[in-house]
Amino acid sequence: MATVSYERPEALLDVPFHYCPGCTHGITHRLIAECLDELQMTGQTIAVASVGCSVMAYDYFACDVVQAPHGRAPAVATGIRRARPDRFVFTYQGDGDLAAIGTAEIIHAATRGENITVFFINNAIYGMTGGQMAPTTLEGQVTQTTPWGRNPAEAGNPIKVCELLATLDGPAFIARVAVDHANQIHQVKATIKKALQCQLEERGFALVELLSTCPTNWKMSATEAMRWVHEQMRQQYPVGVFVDRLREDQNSGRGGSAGGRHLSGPSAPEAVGLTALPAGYTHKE
Amino acid sequence: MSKDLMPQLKTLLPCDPYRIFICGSGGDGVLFTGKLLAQAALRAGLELSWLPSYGPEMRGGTANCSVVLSRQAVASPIIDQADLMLIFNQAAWLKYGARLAPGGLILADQSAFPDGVDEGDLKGAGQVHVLAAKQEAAAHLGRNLGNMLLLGALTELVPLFSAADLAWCLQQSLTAKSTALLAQNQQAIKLGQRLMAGD
Amino acid sequence: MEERVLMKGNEALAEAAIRAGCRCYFGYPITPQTEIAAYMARHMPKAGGSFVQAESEVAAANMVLGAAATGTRAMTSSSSPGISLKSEALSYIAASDLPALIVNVMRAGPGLGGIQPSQGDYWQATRAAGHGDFHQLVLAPASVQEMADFAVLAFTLAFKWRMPAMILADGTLGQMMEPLYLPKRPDRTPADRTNQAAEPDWALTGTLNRRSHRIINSLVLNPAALEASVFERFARYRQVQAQEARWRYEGPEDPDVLVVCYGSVSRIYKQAIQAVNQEQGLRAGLFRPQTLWPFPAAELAAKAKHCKKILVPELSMGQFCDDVKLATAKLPKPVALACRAGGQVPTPAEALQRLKQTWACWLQDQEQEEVYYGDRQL
Repeated sequence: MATVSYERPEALLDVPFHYCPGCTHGITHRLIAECLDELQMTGQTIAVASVGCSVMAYDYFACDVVQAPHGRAPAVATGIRRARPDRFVFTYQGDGDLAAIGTAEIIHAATRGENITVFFINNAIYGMTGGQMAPTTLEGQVTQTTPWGRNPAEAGNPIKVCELLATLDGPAFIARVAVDHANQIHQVKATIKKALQCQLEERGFALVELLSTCPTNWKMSATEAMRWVHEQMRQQYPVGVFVDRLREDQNSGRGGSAGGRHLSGPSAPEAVGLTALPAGYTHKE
Repeated sequence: MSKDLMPQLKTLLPCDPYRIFICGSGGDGVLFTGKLLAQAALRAGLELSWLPSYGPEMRGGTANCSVVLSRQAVASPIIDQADLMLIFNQAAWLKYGARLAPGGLILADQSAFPDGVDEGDLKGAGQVHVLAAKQEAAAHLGRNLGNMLLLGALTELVPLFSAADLAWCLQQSLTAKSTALLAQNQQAIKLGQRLMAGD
Repeated sequence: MEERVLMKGNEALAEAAIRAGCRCYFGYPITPQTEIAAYMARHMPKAGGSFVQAESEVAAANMVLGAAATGTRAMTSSSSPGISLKSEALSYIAASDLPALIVNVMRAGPGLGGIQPSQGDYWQATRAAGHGDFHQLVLAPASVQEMADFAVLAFTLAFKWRMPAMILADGTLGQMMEPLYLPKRPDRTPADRTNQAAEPDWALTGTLNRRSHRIINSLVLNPAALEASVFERFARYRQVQAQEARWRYEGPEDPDVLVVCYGSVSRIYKQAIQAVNQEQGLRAGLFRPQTLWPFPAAELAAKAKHCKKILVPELSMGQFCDDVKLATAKLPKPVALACRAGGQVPTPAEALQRLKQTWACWLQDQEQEEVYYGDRQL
C-alpha cells in the first residue's frame, strides 16, 4: 500500500512560487513551513516580508503577513511583537535588505534581544533589481555595479553578518547554514527549527543566515550555482553556530530572555542538538 | 480646595491678564518658581499659561519663563511686557529688564543690582523690591533657595495667593522627592515673607 | 468631571494618548518633543503597553507600522528633522490603510535648523508626508487642552478612516503648561488587546487556524490594480473632506479683517484681536482651522465673504497662506501674509501692529495685497 511521504506543508499555501529555477528561496520557504507545522506555530505567527525577490512571500505562507519597507523588517517585527507579545514573528530578509539598508534595524533588534526569528537569505547579490552588488558580494565577484569584479579598495569588503551580530549580548541564537546540497537539508531544517524554538521559549533574538543561490543573476546553471555556494561562498562565510544561549543555558541551568513575556503558544519540543556543521562535506555532481 | 474663596481670590489680580516674567540662570530654579506660581493660580481657580525658555539656555546661560494669569482663558502665552518681574541675577536684569511694563513691579535678588538700584535704569517701574534672597537662604538654610525666598516675599507684595497656598503646592510637587527638601523650601517661603514684612 | 490638572502640552498629549487606548509608543529623542517619549517611558508600562526607544526615527515609525498592523493603537512622535525620516513609513502606513498617530512638534528648519517653534512643515504635513498619492489627517491644536483632546480625536479618526493621523503642534504648544481636563480613562483594559471580538477585521492577529491568512501590503505590481486601490483611497478621502473638517471662529459676524491662522500663532493674534476690538474703528475676527487636512475650505470661504481683508500670519513662508488663498480664490479678498521663520515668534505687540498696518493699507487701497517678512513689508 502506498504511503504519502512528501506533501505540501500546511504552513504553505497551494500557490506556485514565482522564483527562478535553481533559486533556493523555494527550498527555504518549504523548510520554514515544515518547522512551523511541526512546532504548531502557524496560527499564532505573523510573518514580515521584506523588499527583494522574497517580497511576495506573503502570497505563499499561510500565516498572517505584513510587508515591510526595505530593511525595516526587524523594526516592523518589533512593533508586532511589542503589540502582541502572545504571537510569534519571523522576518525573511535578503542581504541587501538586512545588511545594507537595514543594518541599523537588525543590529538594534538583535541587541535588544527582541523575541523574533530572522531568516537571512545571503545570495551575495541584489536579485530583484537585476544583479547589483550586495553588501555580501564576494571580493572579485562580477555584478552589474561591479562590472570588473568587487574591488574592496573601491567597493568595500563583504559583511559577515553572523560574526558581527555574535559580538552582541542580545542574541540567543545565531547560526549560518548553506542551502547548497541535498545532504544539507536536515542540517538546515534543524537550524531553522532551533531558531523558531528560541522564540517559543522566549529566549530572545534568533537569526539563521542561509547561504543561497541566485543562478539568474550569477549567470550560472542551477548546478553551477550550488557549486559556487559550496566552493566560494563557504570560504568567505563559514557555516556554523556562532551564538547558542539555549545550549549554554542547558549547561548552566539558566533560561529566559530579558523583557520576555509569557506566551500562550504550544509547549516547545526538545531542542535539536546542533553545534558545528560537518567539515567532511563533499560536493557530488 | 475651598471653592467659596475662589471668587474673592480672583478679584485680587492687579490687572488682567497679569503677566509675570521670571528670569535668572540655570540652577536658580526659574522654571520651578514659575511652576509653583502656576499651580497656586490653578488652585485659586484662575486661568493661566506657563511658558519656559527651552533648549541651549537650559544648559547654562540665562533661563526664563512667562506665566500669564487671567480670569478668562489666556490668549497669548507669549508676552512682550511683564507686569511683574522676578529677577535672580544681573545678567537676567540686563538681558530682560526692558520687558518691564510701565508701572510694573520688580522683585529681585540683590545680585541683580550689585551697584545698587539706579533709578535711571528702571524704565518706569512702579515698584522695585530688592532682597538679599540668595544670601539669606545660604546663611539660614544652607541651600540655594533664593527663589523660594522671593516667592515668600511676593505673597507680601501682591495678594495673588497666600503663602499657605504656595506651601500646599510645594507639598504637591516635592513630597514624593524628599520631605527634608520640602521642609527647607517651606522654611524659605516663610523667611521671605518675614524679610519682606520687615522691609 | 475629572479634576483640572496642570501639564505641559507634550505630557498632556502623551497621557491623553494612553487614555485613548494607545498601547505602543516608539520614539527617538529630539527637542522640543522629548517629554512625550520620557512620559511614555514612565507611564506606558503601567498601562500594560510597550515603550521602545528606537535606534532611529526610521525604525520608530516602522515599529508603529508593525504594531498598527495588529490593530493596536500605536504612535510615534518627533520634531521636524525626525519627521522627514518617518516619511518612509508614513507612506507605507497610508498605502497599507493602517491607522496610526504621528506627532510633529515643529521646530524651525530647513536642515537641522533650530529648536524654537515653527510651522515650516505645513506643506510636508498636508501635501507631501511621503512619496506617492496619499493623505494623512492633520490636526492642529492651539492649547494644551487641545493637545490632549486631539490625541483622542486622532486615534478615533485614524481608526474610522483607516489612515494615519498627524498632530501638527509646535515648540510653544509642546513646552507650555496650561490647566486642562484630561479625557476620561476608557473602560478598555490591556486584556482587550487579546479579545478577538474587539479586533478589527483587517488586523494581523494570527489565523489561529480558524480563518485564512491576512496580508497587509503596499506592493501592487499590476498598474490597474494599483490604480484601483488609489482611486478607492481617494474616494474615501473625499468623504473625509466632506465630514471631518474642523475649525473655530471668534469675533464679529462681519469683521473688517479676518485673521486666519492656526496653532500657537492663533493665540498671539487672539490677544491682538481682543485688544483691537476694544478700540473704535477696526473690527477683527479669528478663523482657526483645527484640521489642516482636511482643510475647512468651504467654511473659511463662507466666513471670508463678509470680511474686507484677510490677514494670514504664520511661522513659515506662506505655506499655510496657499490653502487660505485656494479656499477664498472665488471671492476674492485681498490677502496680507505675515511671515516669521527661524524660530522667531511674533509678540502680541507685533501682532497688533500687523493688524493695524494691514487695515491702514486697505483704507488706502482696497485691492492691495501685502507680504511681511517680520516687520519688513516687501
